[in-house]
Amino acid sequence: MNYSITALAAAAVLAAQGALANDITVGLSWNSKTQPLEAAWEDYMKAEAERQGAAAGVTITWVINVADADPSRQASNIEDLITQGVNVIVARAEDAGAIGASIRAANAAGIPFVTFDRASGTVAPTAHVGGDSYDQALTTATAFADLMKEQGIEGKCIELQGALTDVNAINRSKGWTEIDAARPEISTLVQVPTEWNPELFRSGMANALRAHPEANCAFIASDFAITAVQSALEEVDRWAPAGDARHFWLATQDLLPGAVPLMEGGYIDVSTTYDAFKHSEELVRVVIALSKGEDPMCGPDGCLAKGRVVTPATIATIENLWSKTYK
Amino acid sequence: MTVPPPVLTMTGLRKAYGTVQAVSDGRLTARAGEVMALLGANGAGKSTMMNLLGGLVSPDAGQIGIAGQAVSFAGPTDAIRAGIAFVQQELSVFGSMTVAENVFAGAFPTRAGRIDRAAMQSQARALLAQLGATIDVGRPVDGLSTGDRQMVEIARALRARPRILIFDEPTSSLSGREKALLHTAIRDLKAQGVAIIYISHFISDVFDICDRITVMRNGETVAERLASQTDQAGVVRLMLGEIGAAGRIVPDDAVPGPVALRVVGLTAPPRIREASFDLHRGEILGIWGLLGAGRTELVRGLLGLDGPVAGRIELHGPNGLAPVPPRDLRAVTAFVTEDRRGEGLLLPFSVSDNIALPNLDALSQGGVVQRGRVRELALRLIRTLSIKVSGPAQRAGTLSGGNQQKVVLAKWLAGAPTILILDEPTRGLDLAAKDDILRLAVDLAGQGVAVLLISSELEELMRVSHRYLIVRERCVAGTLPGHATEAELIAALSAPVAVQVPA
Amino acid sequence: MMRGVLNYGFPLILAGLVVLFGVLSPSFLGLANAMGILHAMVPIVVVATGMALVVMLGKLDISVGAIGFAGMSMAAMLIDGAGWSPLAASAAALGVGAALGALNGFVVVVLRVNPLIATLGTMIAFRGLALQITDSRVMVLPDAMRNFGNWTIGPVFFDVLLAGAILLAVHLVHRETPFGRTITAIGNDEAAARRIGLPVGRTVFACFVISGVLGALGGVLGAAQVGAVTTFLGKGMEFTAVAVVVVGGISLFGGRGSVFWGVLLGALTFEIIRAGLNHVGANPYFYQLIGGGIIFVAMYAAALKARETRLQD
Repeated sequence: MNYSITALAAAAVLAAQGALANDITVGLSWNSKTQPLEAAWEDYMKAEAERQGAAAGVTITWVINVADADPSRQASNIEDLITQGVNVIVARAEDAGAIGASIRAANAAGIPFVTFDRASGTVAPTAHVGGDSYDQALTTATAFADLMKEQGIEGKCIELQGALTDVNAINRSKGWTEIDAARPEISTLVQVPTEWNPELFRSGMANALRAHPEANCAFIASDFAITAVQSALEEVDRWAPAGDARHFWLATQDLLPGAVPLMEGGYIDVSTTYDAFKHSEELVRVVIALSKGEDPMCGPDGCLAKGRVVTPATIATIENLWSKTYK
Repeated sequence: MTVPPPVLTMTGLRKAYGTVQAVSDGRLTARAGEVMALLGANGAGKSTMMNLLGGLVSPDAGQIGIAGQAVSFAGPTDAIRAGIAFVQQELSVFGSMTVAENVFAGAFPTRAGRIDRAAMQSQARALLAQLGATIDVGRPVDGLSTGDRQMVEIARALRARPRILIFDEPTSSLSGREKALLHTAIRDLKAQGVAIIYISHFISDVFDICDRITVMRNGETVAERLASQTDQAGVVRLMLGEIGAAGRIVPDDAVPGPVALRVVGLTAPPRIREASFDLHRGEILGIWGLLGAGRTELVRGLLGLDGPVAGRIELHGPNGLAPVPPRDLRAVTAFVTEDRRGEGLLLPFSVSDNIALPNLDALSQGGVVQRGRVRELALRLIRTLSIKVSGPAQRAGTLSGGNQQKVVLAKWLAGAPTILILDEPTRGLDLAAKDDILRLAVDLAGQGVAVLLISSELEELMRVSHRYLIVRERCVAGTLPGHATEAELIAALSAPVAVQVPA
Repeated sequence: MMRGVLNYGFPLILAGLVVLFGVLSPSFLGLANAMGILHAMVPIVVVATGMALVVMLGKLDISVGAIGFAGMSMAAMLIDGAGWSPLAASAAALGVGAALGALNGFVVVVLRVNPLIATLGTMIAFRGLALQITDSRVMVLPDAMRNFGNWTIGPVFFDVLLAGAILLAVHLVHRETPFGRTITAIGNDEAAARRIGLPVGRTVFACFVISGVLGALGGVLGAAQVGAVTTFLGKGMEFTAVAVVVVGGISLFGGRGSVFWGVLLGALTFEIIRAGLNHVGANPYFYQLIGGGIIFVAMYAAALKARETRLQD
């Protein structure tokens, strides 16, 4: 009798351990959750967790907290996650410096820590998942060069650069410049710094158009302020959709909500998304790998998710485009 | 003789600031068409009386009456409305604005919201003409002389057609010519029926322009006299009270101590041509000479402050007189000049910090300044020199001129100097403070310090000098004994005299 | 009165720059570019006009950029969330500017906090408030507003006329009204101004309110030009406004300079440099260096002239 109970107990424990191995809890610490982008990320993560989890035989339970843009609140939130004994911690840092303390605490507790979208400044996490801004530019530039070739146009472009202190801006310029050098279909007439200031997008574009009336295209390092570029083009009567003789060819980055209707209307020709879906997809992959004790195989800058090229032709049908569906 | 009724009567006024009774019995009367002087040493209560009159503070007791009516002022605007205007010692002029704008600051004539410049300029011109001044009213005040700026300020005061106009130390920054112009302007105002109160410590100016004199001392009004019925000496006596009239305060027959400093052939052309003299312990050697004779250059050259000098300087040491470089002399010499602000009084610092500054080594232990020692030293010197402060922590900038000068002295005395050089130490101080400084010099000499005193006021030199050093055209011409008369001293400035040549 | 142009070396340098850029890029000298430069200058001119008054007092208001952002954020929320018309929402933004300016005035005049410290604090507070209101989102403005922001009457942009009118009005108020003269007096010597009974407190308070309103207006006009409100609106604008005022010859000590010429020359300097560098296609990494170098030369010329003037005193 005793023997069977012990065996049953052992079996139960083994069964439980086995179940635990396929059942992981992921602690997710948001710095804030007020924007459509953040809501999209979370939904995509949950959806991907189900899909990838089913394929990998893993059930993911989420423990989520939000820090209201307060670094110390986020630190204590992560403390809670550590205390609860989650299997993996994922955090979008409010402050690149402050997150280091939380990373160290997680390391001490033996819990893998993944930084999401925003990198840690000082302490290295177990893994970083973010967008590949360099690839964003490469794919857009390539697709744009293809477009120019197809249209039989020699693209003489104005490059509007982001703040040169921002690594994303630097990466995007690098990508564009590389393709510009390799492809005869596009050439850059002038580089205009905008310091991410919409007013400088407008005035910089306007000045470049005056200095280079032969320009017929532009590469815009982010379309968060696309209306500023629109203003400048309207001034010289070159704001028109493709098909119109006045059309000015535009290649942008990010395809944010403000830019979606403009691409649908044919004003923007090519963009590569700041892809919430791809980020979430990659994040879940990394989380599952870490929970199994595997190496997620990240590059030197982290596990960077590539965005997807979108054009007026594909924008209607592309799936999981957060900037289209989330408001 | 009918005397017009007083425009202003201040009676029985009392005002205390905390525990300090600034005014205990303030009385002042002013009549239309008359200039009334208000005299008193610093701390006598003049400023408080003026603050009461100006509505800046209210009296604890007493009454102010304007044209027979009792008034009480809630603030400066009430005083202005009652017809009281001030011309302060510190001018309130705005450099980048025009003369006309300055005169009408706060009361611009307007037309439909805009300043009526034509009216403003013509009225400003008229006001200045009342004062006999012909300044271009369209030009900025920047670049005007002090006298002209004062005229602008007076014009502004006149703009409100005051009944009572108060001048506070109006001539301290004026040249002789400007002073004359100012007094002419005041006479004109008098003739126009304004009651004028004139506060000054230049007693000769007072007698030049004033009809009556009110004297305050220690917070009380002690006298009111017609100017014609008193004289400078009388007024000084009233101001200083029992302190005593000006007179010699060193004995004529004092025996000099041993030689503390011997100077032979000090030369630094063209500043110093040839200087030789002895300075004894415990004596005050009064350096007497005309303006430009080279007295200041002499003492500065002695200390090596203006570049290298030729000649021999011998200091009394453990083995008698021995030659020393200027640096060594500086180490044992205190040098107090008339330029209090420029020569090392840090106005934002406290009295004790100022005193401590050149003596930090002695007041430190292991590189850390000992606050206790600093305080002790400061208190001792405050007592010794009778510096009027609320405490050693009081900011030097808030002290009166005389007390500031005492703090400068205290600074140097803390280092127990062998030699004390005073270069016009009483310039700009009121009578009581002058007296204090001179008495301090005498006390220090009594303790064995050797004192060199430069003063342009012969009476001052004559009060305290044991001997006189005559400086003429950059040379030392010789010396005169302490009992020399005024005539002898003045004569020594021009012709060679039978002088005592140092051994 | 040419007294407003304190120095001749400086405008000459400006003229020289125009010629240089014109030679390197002929389109720089065209009418379109001149109009474009004036148009781009509008937000900073409006904000610097308010700043000029505060600087004339001998004080600073470094919260104006944050006020511009806060006001316009409020307006964007009203348009987006409550369906207000852009005109009404812009008026509300100006109201916010006045209220925030009044808060600044209160802290400086009543609480007697040093203006630099006070407005540093309010700058942080106002920006934080605006970020809270908008959740740091990009808010696209209605086309009608963007069209207004870029509306031209003939070759001239309407907002240039508006900014010019405001600048001229403030200049005249400063030069020709008792209020304006009191500002100058306070800037010359605040203690003296108090002594002679000038309404110092009221005047300082009023200037901070004006600075707030013009800061908000600058935010509105800037957002109207680009058609969106982003978190970049107004960032650093206060420092640019101070730089414009200083470069234009208005003394930071207060009481000296011409509002009209000061703001105009200062803003022109910065915009001409930027537009010129855009036109010649200068390497973006060198913008700051070149821009800084030109400003340095211009300021040196101004300092030489100012030293001469002061020596005459």
